[in-house]
Amino acid sequence: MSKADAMAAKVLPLMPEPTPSEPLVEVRDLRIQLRSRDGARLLNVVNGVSFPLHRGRTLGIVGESGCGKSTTALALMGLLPGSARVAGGQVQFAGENLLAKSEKEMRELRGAKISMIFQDPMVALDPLFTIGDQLAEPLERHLKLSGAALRERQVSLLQAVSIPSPETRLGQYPHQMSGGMLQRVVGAIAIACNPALLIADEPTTALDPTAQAQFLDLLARLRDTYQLALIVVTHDFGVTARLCDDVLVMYAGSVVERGPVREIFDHPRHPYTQALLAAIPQAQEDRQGRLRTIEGQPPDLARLPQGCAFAPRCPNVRPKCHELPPPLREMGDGHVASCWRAGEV
Amino acid sequence: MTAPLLDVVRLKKHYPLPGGMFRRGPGSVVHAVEDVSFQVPSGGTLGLIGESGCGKSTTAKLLLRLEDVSDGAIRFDGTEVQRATGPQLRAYRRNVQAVFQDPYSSLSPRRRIGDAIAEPLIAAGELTKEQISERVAELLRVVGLREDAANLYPHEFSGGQRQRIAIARGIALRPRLVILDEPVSALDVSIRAQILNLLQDLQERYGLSYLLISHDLDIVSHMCTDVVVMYLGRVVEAGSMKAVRRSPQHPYTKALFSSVLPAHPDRRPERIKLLGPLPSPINPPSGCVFRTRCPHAQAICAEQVPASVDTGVSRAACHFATPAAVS
Amino acid sequence: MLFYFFRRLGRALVTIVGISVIVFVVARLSGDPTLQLAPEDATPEELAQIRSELGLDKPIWMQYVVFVEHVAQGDFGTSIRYQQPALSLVLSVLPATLQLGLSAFVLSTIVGVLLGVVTALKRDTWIDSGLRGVVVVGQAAPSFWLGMMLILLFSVELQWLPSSGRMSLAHMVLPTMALALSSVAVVLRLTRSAMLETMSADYIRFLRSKGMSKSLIVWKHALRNASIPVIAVLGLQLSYLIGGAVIVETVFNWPGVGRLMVEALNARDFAVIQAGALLVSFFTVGANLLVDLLFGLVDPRIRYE
Repeated sequence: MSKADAMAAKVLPLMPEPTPSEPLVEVRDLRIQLRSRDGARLLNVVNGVSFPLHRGRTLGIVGESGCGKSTTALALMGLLPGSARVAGGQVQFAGENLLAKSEKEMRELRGAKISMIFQDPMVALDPLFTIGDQLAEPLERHLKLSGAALRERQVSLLQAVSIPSPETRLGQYPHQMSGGMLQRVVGAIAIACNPALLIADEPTTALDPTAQAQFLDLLARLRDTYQLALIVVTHDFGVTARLCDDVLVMYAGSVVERGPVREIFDHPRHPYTQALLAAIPQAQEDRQGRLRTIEGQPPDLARLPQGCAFAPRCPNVRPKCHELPPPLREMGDGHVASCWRAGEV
Repeated sequence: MTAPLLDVVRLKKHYPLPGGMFRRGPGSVVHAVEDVSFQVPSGGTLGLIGESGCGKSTTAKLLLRLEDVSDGAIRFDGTEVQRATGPQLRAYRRNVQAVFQDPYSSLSPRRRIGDAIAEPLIAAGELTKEQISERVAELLRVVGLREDAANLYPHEFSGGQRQRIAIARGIALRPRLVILDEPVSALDVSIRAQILNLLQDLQERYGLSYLLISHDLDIVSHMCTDVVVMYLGRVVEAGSMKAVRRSPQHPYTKALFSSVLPAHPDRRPERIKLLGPLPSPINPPSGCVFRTRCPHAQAICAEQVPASVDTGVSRAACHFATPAAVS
Repeated sequence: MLFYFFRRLGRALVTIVGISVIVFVVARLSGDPTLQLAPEDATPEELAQIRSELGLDKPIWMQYVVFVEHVAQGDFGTSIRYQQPALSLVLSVLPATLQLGLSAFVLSTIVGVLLGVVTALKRDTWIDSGLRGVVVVGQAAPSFWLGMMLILLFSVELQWLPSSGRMSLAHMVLPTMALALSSVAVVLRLTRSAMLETMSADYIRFLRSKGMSKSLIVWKHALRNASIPVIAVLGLQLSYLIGGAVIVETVFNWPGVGRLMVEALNARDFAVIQAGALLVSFFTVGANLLVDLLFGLVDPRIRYE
């Protein structure tokens, strides 16, 4: 156990895991519709997403903009925008369906049992209040802390996210800190009340490379120390390689592939996953060749084809692909993919 | 080695702090760019890397002559241009174009994109109307768009297509150097590869030279022949991309490349962590600017500014860089 | 913060000097007071005599220097009309104007901000469009017309409230309303748009993800952030309200600086015009300085600038 881990363990006592075999989160066939801009149509932005997630494990939700990955995350938090509505499915969290809960009940869970980290730390905190104020809010609300106990917890939380001289930092304002430091503060706020589930939506996209690597290290450490169930929403396979146990790839609102991270990297079954992986410039090698691309344009949710949504851009398309959307099929080892040709080797 | 297309020599940019009588004493300036030297090889791609606030964007602005240099020289094709005015400046600007991160903000929303691409051609005043529309059609084709796209407005295109339009406009006047400032950061992964490939095609086809500014080390490694690493306004290391990538010599470069995310879950590159926060460019540390965060810093680092040493791999500004054996 | 304060103070002083020049010059442009004072059959020599007594024969810049010297000693000259010190004349009516201007300011700030928040939260409902409709009318109507309409309705028809004079609190109601309404409109619209903008900010979403209650998010975080552009306009509104009081005073026969100034202008009573304009300016500049300081209090980014 490193010094930082020991420090973190001191701050938040480990919550006993109730039944280790049961997943903490079980999303089943989640469907979300969004009213189109002109209000005329309902778009299926999330189209039957399912996954289990255990404590201490990390799921990466990967996809490009508009694929429904962030909407899925917001639905778990009960923070969907007004133009969106849940059209079906379940989100089981510690044995309860979150989608059946009232806004008031969700408010008791948010920040306490389920927390979220957003993309840009520079705008995630209210510029007019000190770090200390904003860290105190969830502690006062959910844990009813005050006075010396509150102060002590604030300091140890900043220590848990490796922020030096925490007493000074508590009195500072967001504009006095760098992006990497602010994202740590956001992380401290998110874990303040010892949540079981942490959702991080593109947590390092706005950070510089060194700050990004450090923050991913921190997330891994917090997950291990507190046995957090962690969901990382990202467009970057590098983030999943660093952090995740399982990966879920989304395209046009649907899950195209899901499986253990090594399976996904070594044996991607869906052509979209394959193409995304091939499109990453491999820094590890000195390749001065051309990148593999995915031809065509990102899908338009208002004009999805009748069959497989990826068919118009797919290099191995078959006539069948244009007729019927492929179902998710089991590939073995918890690996599923929705491609008519996924069984072929 | 052939003569470089762009030769930057000891470039400096200082911003005096806005003041009043009650402000900090005299001589309080932001050292945004300090003694920066590098060359862009003809037909090659130079990568400019470093983290936010390292001065890479300021350097781009200086090269584009959007800001005046405080000191130093910019030589383009052998001619000093840092103080050029009138026809000389116009000729330089024609030869040096830029493509920025967000194509949406550089395209006027109420202007057909054909007109946007034609704008520099009209301003140059050399072609007839028919020639211009022919050239616009050709440019659209070259960047992989349909010719009839000229009649559409920017919002009718996706992000990747808009970046293609920005590139078409950037190469309209057949420049020799294009400054690419985070050209794909705003794009989705699948579109990034398309744009990077397009840029490589155009380079081959027109013999373009690129200066690529990016925080994405994978992209820089993929695209560049040479690389310059900046830290707090200074160049800490410069050399061939492959060599620097394979064995970085400066501790900052090492730390930077060690933070690249793994391409596979089984690869866990050893991370070199930087100490403490980024110092302020108003009062940069004495001696070596990197010493406050360097794991190897010694007394000498606070006393002397390290000279750039030829290590055989690259040129590194570090007191502990090993010079190449004299052959 | 101290630097910030001194910078603002310096700027306020420059403004006051500028105003004093303008007031001085404009008063001079309004005509020659000698003719008002002198008997109708005065000879040119007698006129020259009066001019020299008043110091009007000196070059204009010297007149200004003398004027500033006197003002610095609290001497704004003597009212030609009342033969009293101009300063005490103005001071005797100034409280009435400030009372009217400030109460309209307080009213429009409170009502404008509250309604702004409500319309933002109830965006695109009938409450939003209804309130904004009323307010557009309020903003479009000139305050003197509004004043007359209020008198017609509440004094003449309903006979609820007095229409003129300054005897009781009830006398204040109508002039304050007439003066405040257009300002309410400005503050409401600005608060509404600022609230809409802050409510969609990322930190609001993060606050929601912390499980914070809606009222805390709205009243503590969103309103405070939205108040920054609103405060900027409050400074302008205050100047406008004190200036506007002058017009409304005439409609409601309110014994303030406005009425005094109109009389003084008609009589070319330089000293009174100068004293009135300068004192009102002092208060306006002072109020704006307060607003600037308020900025610093609300926004740490300014404090640490």
